[in-house]
Amino acid sequence: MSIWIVIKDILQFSRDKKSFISLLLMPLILIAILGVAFGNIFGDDENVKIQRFTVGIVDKDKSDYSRILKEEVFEKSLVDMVELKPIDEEALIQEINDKTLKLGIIIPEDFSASLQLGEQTQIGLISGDDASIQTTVIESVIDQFAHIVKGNIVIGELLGEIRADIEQQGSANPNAESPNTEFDATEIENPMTEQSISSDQEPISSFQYYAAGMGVMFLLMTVVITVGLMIEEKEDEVYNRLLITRLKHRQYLLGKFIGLILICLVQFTIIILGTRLLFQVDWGNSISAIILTVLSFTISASGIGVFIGSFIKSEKTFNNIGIICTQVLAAIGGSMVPLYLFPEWLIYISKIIPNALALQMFLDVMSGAGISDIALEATVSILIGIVLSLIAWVRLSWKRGVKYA
Amino acid sequence: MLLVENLSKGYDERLVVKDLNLSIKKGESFGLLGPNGAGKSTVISIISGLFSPNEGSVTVGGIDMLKNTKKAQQLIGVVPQEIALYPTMSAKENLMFWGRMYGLRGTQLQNRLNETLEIIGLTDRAKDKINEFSGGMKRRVNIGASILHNPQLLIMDEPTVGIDPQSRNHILETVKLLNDDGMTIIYTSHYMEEVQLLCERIGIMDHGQLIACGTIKELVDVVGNKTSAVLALKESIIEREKLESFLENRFPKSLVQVKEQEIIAFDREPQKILSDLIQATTEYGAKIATVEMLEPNLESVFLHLTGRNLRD
Repeated sequence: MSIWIVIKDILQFSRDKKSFISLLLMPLILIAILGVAFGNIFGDDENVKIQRFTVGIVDKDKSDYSRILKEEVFEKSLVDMVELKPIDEEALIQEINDKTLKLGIIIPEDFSASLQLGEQTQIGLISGDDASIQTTVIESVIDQFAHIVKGNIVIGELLGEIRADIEQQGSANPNAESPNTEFDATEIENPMTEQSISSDQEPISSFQYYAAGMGVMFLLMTVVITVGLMIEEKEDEVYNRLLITRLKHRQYLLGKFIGLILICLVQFTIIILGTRLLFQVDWGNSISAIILTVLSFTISASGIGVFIGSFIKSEKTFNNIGIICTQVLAAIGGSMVPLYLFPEWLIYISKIIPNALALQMFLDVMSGAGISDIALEATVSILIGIVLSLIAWVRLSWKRGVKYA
Repeated sequence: MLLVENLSKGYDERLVVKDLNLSIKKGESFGLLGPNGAGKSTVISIISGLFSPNEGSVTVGGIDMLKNTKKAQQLIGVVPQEIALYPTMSAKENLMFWGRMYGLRGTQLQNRLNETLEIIGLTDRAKDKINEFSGGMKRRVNIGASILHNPQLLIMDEPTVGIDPQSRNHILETVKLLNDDGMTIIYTSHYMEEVQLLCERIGIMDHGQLIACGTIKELVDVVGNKTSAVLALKESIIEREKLESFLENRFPKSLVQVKEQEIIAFDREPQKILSDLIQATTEYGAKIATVEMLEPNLESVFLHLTGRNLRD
């Protein structure tokens, strides 16, 4: 019985020209625009790795802390990414203006004092117009350095108190008052670790990234539209008419769910074929991994859609909220701007967002991952969908039981 | 064919159907009348197994609707008040879909499709989409989708609302034809003449209760030989209560009713008081547009029982 619901839904979808065009043509158009517009983010060689760049550095503090930042952090840990150029302040500003340098750091005189007092560090960053990514990287490094040093100082103070106690007991330590300058540069995480591609994977081009990002966003939109239509159907007399035929409630839901998955698969197939033919986008070698990604994401997105839908009475409200949610999820899920440019807290949030998970899975597959490499993410995604669907189903059944036979 | 016993249904402590009892024989055509909000649609929803009652039982063709819903539903067809079809699909596609929902397959489905298209008079428009049809044609397909599986009981909820006279006549003829072929019909409408034409027996509902039930003759006998004299006014009455008390001083309260733009005298010989009523109305300052004498009919029965017109 469910199969006739599936066929009917696909027939209706194929005849809805507006949805057909917006869900199948729009992704290709947006991928083309974003792929060209943001190509520079991914570098001329279309590699997500940022090219090594030079940073002018003015050290007014000349303390142990500023030395550690320069020598241990920048010149050792980040040597592949950053080249330091010691310079005085006036020359730095001149070079930035002349565009011979993109970025400069000024370590103030009270840098170490601020750190020891637990105050906010006041390192100055001077950058040119075209150094936004490099600035983000350096800001991230300095923030993490400050956090770790402050942590070490607190630990040092605690240790100092312990030492003082021991000293009182006759075991004096002459170094107890000296600042804790022991610093492990490996504690600073490489800010590019949140990149979607690791060094042993194939690089991702801007077209690849936006093909996956837009594909995910439009899949989310398809789910919103289809669940919206389901709510609309439930508001109409046609749903009551369905309920007095042989069709059972669970057959109706199953039919709707299968229909949605098929529509999503068709949509993504068109996006894959379209981007491959038009923009030579390489989607990787594993068709089964792509299908698993689409399936797992459709299940999770449908779960979200049905979950939200179970709390909303009218199709109009659902569509309005659905569009807002789609845009927000797409934005924080990395569909519009690459995830590694996000602040760290947002990157953590994106790890539990289904569309961000799906995007990551697509990027992994594009980089050569197979079905076993994405199995964990796919399982998480499917579980999210199943749990939310079950909650929605229980809620809807309870609501239905109150009113219907 | 249908047995409804002690049926009650309420929402939020408000009873919309109160202790309703109804029995309809196989092959009978039954009219269900009532003003808006009387509870007709709720009763239809319960009979068709869509809503569950708070109390009471519904039996269709000997099958308990509450205990064996899907089996009982197979015996009924419901024509909803609204068009319950898929507008981007053709008449044929819609009918095929609804036939499948009732379990029809293969040649059986094809034969029933052809027969139904013939009955609703749309064989030549079968491939046209619903959103290209007139209101009347949509109503005909709406009926077609309910009779594909050849139900024993057809429930029609206002099937002729908002359509042209030609389509209306076609629908009425179709209902008559189906009833002549042995299908039991429950028909609700605001159009008294439709119910008088189609139904052998009529039930009148008001405030969730079946306040009268019987043949047209039996119902007319309830009001005796009383005739209505209706004075239609040129303008709506602004201070209705004031006019009511003005007339109560001159005529017995049970004799005269004041409506929004009408004054109705209800008596065996209302013509005897007609001149006095016209004079009193004119004295009050209301301008009379027309005066009409109505012989006892369903309209006057309805008015007598509910104090309201059917279209109120």
